[in-house]
Amino acid sequence: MMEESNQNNWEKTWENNFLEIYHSDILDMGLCVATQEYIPIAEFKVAFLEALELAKKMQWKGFVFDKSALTTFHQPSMEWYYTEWKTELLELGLSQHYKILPPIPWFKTSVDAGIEEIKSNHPDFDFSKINVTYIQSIEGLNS
Amino acid sequence: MLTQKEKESEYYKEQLSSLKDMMQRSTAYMQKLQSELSEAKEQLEIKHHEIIQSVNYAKGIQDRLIPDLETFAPYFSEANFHLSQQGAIGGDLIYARERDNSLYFGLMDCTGHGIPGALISMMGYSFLDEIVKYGSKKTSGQVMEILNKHFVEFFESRNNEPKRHDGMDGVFFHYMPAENLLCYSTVGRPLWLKTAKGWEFIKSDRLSIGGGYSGEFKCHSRTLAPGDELFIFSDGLPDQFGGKRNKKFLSKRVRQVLHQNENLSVSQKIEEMVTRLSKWKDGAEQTDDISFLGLKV
Repeated sequence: MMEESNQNNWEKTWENNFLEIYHSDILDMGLCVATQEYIPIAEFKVAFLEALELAKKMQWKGFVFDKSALTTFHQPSMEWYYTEWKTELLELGLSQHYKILPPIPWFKTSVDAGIEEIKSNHPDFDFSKINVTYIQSIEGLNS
Repeated sequence: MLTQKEKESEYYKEQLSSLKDMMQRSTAYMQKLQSELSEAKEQLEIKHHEIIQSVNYAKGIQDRLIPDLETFAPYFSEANFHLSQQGAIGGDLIYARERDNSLYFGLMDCTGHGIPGALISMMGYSFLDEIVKYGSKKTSGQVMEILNKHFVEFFESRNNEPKRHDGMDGVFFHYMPAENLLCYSTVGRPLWLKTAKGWEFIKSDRLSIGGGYSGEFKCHSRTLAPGDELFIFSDGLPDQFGGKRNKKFLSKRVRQVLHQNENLSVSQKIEEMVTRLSKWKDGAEQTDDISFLGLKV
């Protein structure tokens, strides 16, 4: 991410061995960048709970999850991320999410399969309240 | 306490397990999608079959509108036509009706093609036949005027639906052989006439049936002589795309075919036109309904 032109003034505010969190005061948005191929659920939760606090503090209007470094995701982490973490963001009024997927052809299919399973396990969870836009890179936010 | 190596081993083990889980879930998901797709395809095939059956049945009904060549026989030494709707059914209509030793006939091109075109052609035929068959004998212009009135009235706005301008173009004739007199009304379509003097292109009056036009539908007249020929065609013929640069066939090629084959019989001219058009199309899709009518006194 740091190789981009940083025209949106992304500033790193937190990191662990698996994820980095950035804030853009130009876009009023948060960005979480995966830095490893796989993130265990404990580290995943720590990072995203930190992002939740920053979302409250900085009053983010949108959130970007750059998963391009991932090759594998953990389904229970994804389930938590959707049904609990995103719900908390919704309560803050944040419904606009952007995702950058890894350049692996079958990864999107795996994500769709994972979402299908979440829908089946959580029939009351309203996915329509969350607006997810897939972008190719962080520069895609400016197009 | 776990050593760094053990921690790494745990990490990769968990990653591998998650990857396996992802693959299994994705495979199951793909299988489910495939099954849904197969089911949807099956449903589509059933619907497609039903639509084809329905349209083919409709074709059987619409084909009853096509006049028998025998209808022209007492009036013309040669008569033939080519009628090729873009689909099984369509909006080109060839009409012929004898009345009191005279022949009313025409080639009409209805709005649209496919099902809407076919519906308009059925309407047009019914209106036309009623106008021609019943009441006093009318000139071709009067027939067109009444037909236009019927269409305009039918498509008036009602129940908050806007007025529609659907209808037809064409050339309509009334031939009275006792006087060798041909009366005709050109409604948005031209005609070619071949007499002893040569070919004559008769332009259309700027009119249409159902287009909201309320002016005069003129009735032109000509005295015909034995050997005179006339040709009329729908705009699907010149508008057909094809050729090396995917351009329209255009009226100039219609003229070329007629002029180059002027010594051939009416049927041979039509056959030649169909051959030239087919070469022009060269397997491409038919753009519109195509009809072509030729007659020789």
